[in-house]
Amino acid sequence: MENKATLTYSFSESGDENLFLTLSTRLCDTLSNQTVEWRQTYGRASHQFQLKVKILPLATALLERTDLVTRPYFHIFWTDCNDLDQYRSTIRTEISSWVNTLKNYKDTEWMIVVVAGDILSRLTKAKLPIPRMSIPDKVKSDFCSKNPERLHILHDPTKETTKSTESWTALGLKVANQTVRCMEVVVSKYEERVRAERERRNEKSWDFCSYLILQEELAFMYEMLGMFSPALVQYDELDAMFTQYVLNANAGDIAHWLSRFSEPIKHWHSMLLWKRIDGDARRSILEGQASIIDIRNYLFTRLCHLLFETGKLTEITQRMHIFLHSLSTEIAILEITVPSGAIDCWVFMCCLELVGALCRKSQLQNETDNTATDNPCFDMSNEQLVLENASLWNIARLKLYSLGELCGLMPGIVTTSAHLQIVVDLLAGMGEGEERGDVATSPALVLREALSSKNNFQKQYFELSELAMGTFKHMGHFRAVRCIGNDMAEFYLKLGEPAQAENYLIDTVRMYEADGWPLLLAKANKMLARCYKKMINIRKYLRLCYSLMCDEMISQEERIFYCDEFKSLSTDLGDDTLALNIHPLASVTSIQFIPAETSLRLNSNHHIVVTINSNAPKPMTFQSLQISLDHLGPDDGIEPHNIPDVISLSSFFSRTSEDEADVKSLLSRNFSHNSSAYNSLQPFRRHKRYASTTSSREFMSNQPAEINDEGRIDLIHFQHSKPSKFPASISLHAQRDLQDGALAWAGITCRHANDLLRRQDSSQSQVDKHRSTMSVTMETYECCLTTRQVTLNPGMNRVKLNAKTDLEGYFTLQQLRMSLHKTSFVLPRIYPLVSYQVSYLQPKVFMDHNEDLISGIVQHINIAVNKGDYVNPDQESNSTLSFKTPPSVRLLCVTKCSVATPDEDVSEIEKPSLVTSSDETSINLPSTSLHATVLLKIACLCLTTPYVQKLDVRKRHRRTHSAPPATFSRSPKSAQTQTHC
Amino acid sequence: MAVCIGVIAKENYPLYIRCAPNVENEVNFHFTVHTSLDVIEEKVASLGKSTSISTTDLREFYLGQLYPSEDYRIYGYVTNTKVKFVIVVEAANTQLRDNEVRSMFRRLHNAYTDVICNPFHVPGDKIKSKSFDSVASSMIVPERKKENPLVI
Repeated sequence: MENKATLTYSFSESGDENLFLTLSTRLCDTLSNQTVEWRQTYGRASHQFQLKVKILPLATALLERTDLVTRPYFHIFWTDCNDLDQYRSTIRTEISSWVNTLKNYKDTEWMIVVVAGDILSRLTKAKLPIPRMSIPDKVKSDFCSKNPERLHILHDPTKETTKSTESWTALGLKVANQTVRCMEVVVSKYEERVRAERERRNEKSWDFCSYLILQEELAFMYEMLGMFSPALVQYDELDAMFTQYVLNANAGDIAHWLSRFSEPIKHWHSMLLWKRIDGDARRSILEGQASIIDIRNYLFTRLCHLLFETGKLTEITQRMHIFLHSLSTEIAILEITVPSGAIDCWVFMCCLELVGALCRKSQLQNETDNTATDNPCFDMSNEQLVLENASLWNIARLKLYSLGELCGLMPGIVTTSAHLQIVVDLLAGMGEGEERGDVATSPALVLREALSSKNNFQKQYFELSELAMGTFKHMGHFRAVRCIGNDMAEFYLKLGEPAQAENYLIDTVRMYEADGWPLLLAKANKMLARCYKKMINIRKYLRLCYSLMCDEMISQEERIFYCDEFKSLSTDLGDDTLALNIHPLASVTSIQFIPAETSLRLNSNHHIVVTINSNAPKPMTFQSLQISLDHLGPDDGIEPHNIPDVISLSSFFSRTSEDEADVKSLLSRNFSHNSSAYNSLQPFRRHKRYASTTSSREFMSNQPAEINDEGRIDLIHFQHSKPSKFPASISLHAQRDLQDGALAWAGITCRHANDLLRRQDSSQSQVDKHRSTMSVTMETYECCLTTRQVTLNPGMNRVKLNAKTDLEGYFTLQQLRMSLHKTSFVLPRIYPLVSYQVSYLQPKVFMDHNEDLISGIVQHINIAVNKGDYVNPDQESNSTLSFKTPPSVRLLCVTKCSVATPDEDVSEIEKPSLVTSSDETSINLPSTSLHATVLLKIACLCLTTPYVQKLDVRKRHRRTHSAPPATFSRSPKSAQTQTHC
Repeated sequence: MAVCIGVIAKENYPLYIRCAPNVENEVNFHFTVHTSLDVIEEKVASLGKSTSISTTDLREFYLGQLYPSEDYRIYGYVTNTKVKFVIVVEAANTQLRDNEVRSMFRRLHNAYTDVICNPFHVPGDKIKSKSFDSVASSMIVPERKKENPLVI
């Protein structure tokens, strides 16, 4: 009920009581329309308000009241006496006794109202004016000689005449002003008293509770007068004072009255915002029975009430957090014994109470928006209010969760009798949930129900979580949503419903990935892994194990755990296989050719060494390591046989024609094809191929990289998994011309340009991008380099593979994969392009001698035989070199035979003998190592002929060179390397 | 003094997070700091609305308390380049005044400016500066062990 200032009335016994009652009621109405000014002391701003009063008949009990709110401030005596004799005989005595009664009580004002009726005036007018005193004059001279203001004549009170209205207004003004002046005096004196009491606070007899009641009276008074701000100040002062005492206690200065609060707390009722004043709490404070919870509850309830009155919702939301969170600190400081869970109960109930109150107020605001009433306008938008509600729900959710843990209500925990005992104790302390009429269920009842069974607990927990999440989501607080989602997922996991948890966790992982918080991501991933393990989703579980075992944000033990999990489960994929990107498990840093060349000969023995930096927590053994090759052979549009013609014309042939026949020069000539011809022809094909197999649209050169002196090519690693939000890095690129080493072009590129410039709304999400880097496009591995049983230790590893040289053509290293049971780790693309060429060298025979063979004397012919890459399939038999000579030329014997290896080591060997048949001479060639050149020096004699044999060297050489391979056949019988002379 | 200090890049990924040495579960502080980004974004957005373009440079960096939790108070600060500083203070630490928190932020901001001025520092990289570390660690105090309310 609203408080009103009290006024009293008395009346002459002879008068008409009903009339006076009517007059009193009318006076109330007049006063409520009267604006009065409250002047404050100490230069504080004055306050305008409408005085609301209630008029009661005078009673001694009323007069004896000393509090501010209910004491009477003004007394009125009504009389309608118009007869002097009557006045003298009775009224005068009545008034005098009335005045005397009032004089015993200080700080009151009174007034005598003489009602001047119509009859009276008519009578006086009718008679001759006799100089005798009227009743008002008599009253004035008897009682108000010093203060004529105390008398008022009310004319024609029941009529609606100008005179009547004027006299009513004057009466209202007088009463209001005098009441307020009186109140001012009383309040100022009371303030003095409060101040004096406060000064006494260090005395032994001082007690906070009684001081609270004392000062609160001021607040009630101000509230009654509609002055909410000064009322608030009173509570603020009390609140701050109490807090300061607790803080002082923390510093060691414990006030004596505080010790009363350190008794164990047995009740943890919620504050009650639906009442204006919590009577029970106030009573316990009055009786000195209040605990710290009661005091806090009471003060906050009153503060809230006043703030709601003024519409300061912002203040409430700021203060409520302090209110909710400071209690546990204060209890710890005062070393108060509280049953565990009691504070959680209290906070939970308070949260719901606050939410209820805020909702009620916002509804009220919405309803009154259209019909502008005098309700205070809230300084907070509905959205902010909703957000505050969400944060309250969140706090309540957390508290409920910890209560659930305490009371054994969590899924997977068996509720024991100890748990039940805790629940009973907690319920006993939080009081009965009282009926509230129109207001929905009280928080106490909600909590009671939630703690009553596991099912109810779950229902309540999910309800609160969903409410908080929904609201946060609506307000765009997505990080808070994910935090709650994380907890929900944890709950579902405990509940044994991993499928429900999955979505929450995926959202969480996405958020942390997008924001780039590695530690949080690792934690979310761990939970998701747990979830997939429970769901027996091996594929997804393996993926997570994989990323977790390489995650540096988690401990080494955990990484080893996930590594072991991966190893043991990689066999359980059934018929399925799982291809994973090699990043982040390992990075392939370089590829090295041993020996250091990329132009290989058919069947030559070459190695390719791959350097792999492993990030795995422990050594891992893979069943195989393969590098897929893109093979462009002679049938793929490039005819190796045609190309040497070009080369021989341009470089080889022209030189040999000019040079003299010399063994050294023969050796120095490059027997293999120059790779540039392939290079110039092939990039377009290869580029197309890469564009189809890799999704990258980044800058790439389609020129093969050149090996350095050690035969090594350092690979460039593309980090796809980096979120595109990261700052761009700009890199400098330059390309040198292959032939002369001149700078072909240089420029700057940004490798993430595509990601960065992509439209955000239409692009795929971060996670999809992540997934796409996790899943890779596999090459066919029909043509590949393979090595088995590779163990990678953490750190740098070198893995040696045999280069594939059994096929002629151009090989480009495309993709690398390491297989572990059903899983494989794939480096999707080897970049820059690493390629080598395997060429087949035709067998060649060169003959070298003087330009003119002179008959009659023995001369020497130098012959160099290089089998090239031809391998005699029949290893048993030797190759034979046959000469067909004109009858006039006779080959005598081999004078010198030596073998030159490709390294130009020349060693002499035993001379083979010439076998001469009817029309040809043949030599059994010694078996040599691959690619070695046999150098023969044969003595020959031209028989006497009338002319000098002329030999066309050029033509002969050409023919020799271009002789089809078939002429160097495998059978010694049919072997015919024809040297036409 | 603080129990956790975080520096967060414009793109909302952490540049530097340091917790008190005796913190048991560091990841919880990461959660706290990460969640506070919601409030920071909201506050920055509302600041942006209320101030005109000419005054944006003069706006207040200090955002005040972001949101209270039971055990900690979280304060925020945003530079003109949208780099965010977050300081987490224990709720039990009642001595710390608002202007002390402000001065802590100012010191952090200065230290961060020094880091950025280093020509060898790549903007956007995690902060690995020793001097920044020493400034941050001078503001960090070990977390007091929370005294659980006594149980009957």
